[in-house]
Amino acid sequence: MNSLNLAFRNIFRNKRRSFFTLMSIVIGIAGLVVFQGFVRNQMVQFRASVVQGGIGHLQVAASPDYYLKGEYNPFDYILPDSEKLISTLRKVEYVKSVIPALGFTGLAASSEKTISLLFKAYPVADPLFANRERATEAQLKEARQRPLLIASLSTGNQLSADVPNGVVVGERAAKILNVKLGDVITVLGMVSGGGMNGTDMKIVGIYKGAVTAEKYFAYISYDFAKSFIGVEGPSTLLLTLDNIDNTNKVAGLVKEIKDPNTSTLATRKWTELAVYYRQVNTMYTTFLTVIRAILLLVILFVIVNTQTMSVMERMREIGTLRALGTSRIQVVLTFIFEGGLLGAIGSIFGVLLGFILSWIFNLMGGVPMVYDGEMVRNYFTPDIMSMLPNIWPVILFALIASAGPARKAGKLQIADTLRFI
Amino acid sequence: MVAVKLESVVKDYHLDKISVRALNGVSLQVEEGDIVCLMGPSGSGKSTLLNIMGAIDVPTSGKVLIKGTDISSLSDRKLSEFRNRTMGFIFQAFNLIPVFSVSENVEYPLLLQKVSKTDRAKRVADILQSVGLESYAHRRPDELSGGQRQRVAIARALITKPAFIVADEPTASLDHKTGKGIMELMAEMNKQMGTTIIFATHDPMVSEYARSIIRVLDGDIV
Repeated sequence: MNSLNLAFRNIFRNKRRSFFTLMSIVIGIAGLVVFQGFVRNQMVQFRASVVQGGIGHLQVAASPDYYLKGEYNPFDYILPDSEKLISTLRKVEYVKSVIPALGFTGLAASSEKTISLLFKAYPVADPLFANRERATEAQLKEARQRPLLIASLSTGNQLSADVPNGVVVGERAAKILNVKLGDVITVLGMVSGGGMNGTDMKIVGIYKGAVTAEKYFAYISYDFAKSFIGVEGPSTLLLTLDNIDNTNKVAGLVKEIKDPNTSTLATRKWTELAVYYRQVNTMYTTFLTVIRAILLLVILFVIVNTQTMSVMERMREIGTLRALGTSRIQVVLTFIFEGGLLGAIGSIFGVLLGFILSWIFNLMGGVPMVYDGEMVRNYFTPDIMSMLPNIWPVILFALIASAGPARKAGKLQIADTLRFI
Repeated sequence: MVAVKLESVVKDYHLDKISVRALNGVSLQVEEGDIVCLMGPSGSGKSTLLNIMGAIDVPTSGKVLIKGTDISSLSDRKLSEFRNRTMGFIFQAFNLIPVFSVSENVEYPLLLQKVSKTDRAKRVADILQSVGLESYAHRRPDELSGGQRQRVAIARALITKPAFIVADEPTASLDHKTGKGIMELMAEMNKQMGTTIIFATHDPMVSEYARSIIRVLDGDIV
């Protein structure tokens, strides 16, 4: 306790030097936090884009081949006796919902333009397109846990049985097609057996979401899709879980299910399906690791310098403490604690400053960036739960950096230090 | 009873490749309760002798017995504890810890002894009263005059009720009047508490407070 108390007081002794040492840590960590916030925002948006594409936490398909050649061409991979399988999967622990899904490609035409859309079809009974404004807090909470439900309508309503041929398109797709709520688009798609079918779909909602999703994904009723492309069941079952962290556990549990109709039942976790997401995530993680390593190296040298100066300046004091009965190890600990405290204070205030700067940047409107040909704003959303890796390595490095000067202080001969002026 | 006993103590200092002998086989003993003054010109070896007697320096050869304990046999931890319990130090430049208040400076040796908080507070209050600094307890050393700082150092040296006090030029940084006051205080403490005091000085006025004078010249006692 003596050593810690003395260490704490000594930090504020040479205020100017401590200030500059702390500022170098604070600014470095704050910069890291801001960058982390930026990356996190990017990745959250990106994940939203991935899950809005209809991946779910976990997918079940008839066979692994589906993921090689069956997506958006589902005719050879329809799950037989899917109702029974859905019932079995709903009983699996951590599973919140099992959503039958169909996907197919189609050409959507307005009076002005024709574009290719990827149609995702889910049962309308499932509140997939809960309107954020109308949703209760409980619904929103659930929606946040179930990626498929986070689609946010900017205008219109969710799909309902009242409008069987209703479609929800993204803002971008609506802009390209130059259509608005209530307009009708004509969709041309391939049907089971190889023929083509065409139908009119009424725009009942326009959603706002991630850039790519808005442009390419449209949502229609599962029943309507079945009759449109002429199939009897879903091509995949999308499982949403109570918590994304349980994905691996549930994947294990699902693999143990032996479905008599589909002996080669295939499961895919959302991370497996989102390959590009993984690549981007790895790239950002590498960036962050390199930045953190450079920062720690800088902090190491700063603390070594500060603590060496501190030992030099306090030679006579070290001698006095030793003469009064302070042991060598207590002197060493005092200097190590001092470095550790500098690291702890610097990193904690760095995190705080990082959050404050992120808040200010967000108030200023974030960072404008061109994405997919359009100007979008990126914000800074650092996560308090991921701040520990920004704090403990700094403290550890500060302790390590202090060890050398502290050892030197401990080895000083008392009589020599007392002669030091 | 013998407080300190030196037997054939030699001390060499090494400056690069040159060896300088500071003490040349010194033998002496100091009785308990005595006030001993080491006198000699600069470079005579009196500070070295004082440091060795205070167990803050080690001899190149020879034996140092403090209260019958051969200090060369002690580990650093034991020796630190021994210094804390047996000795008090008063330095020419006061050597107070600047980040501590007056009372904390005085209290520090007791903290090392793990004395209870209540006991510490009482003993610090008592000793500060005896050196006339009770109203300065919460001040920092840089808010005190030289004389007051040396009084704090004396209080710190006496707080553990040590067997003896080692004082190196205790009045050298003070004016004549203040220095006299400090020496009178030390003499009074010796009288009241029976503490052995060993000090080094150049000042004949200061040496008058000693009962024994040891003259040191070129590393020898003369």
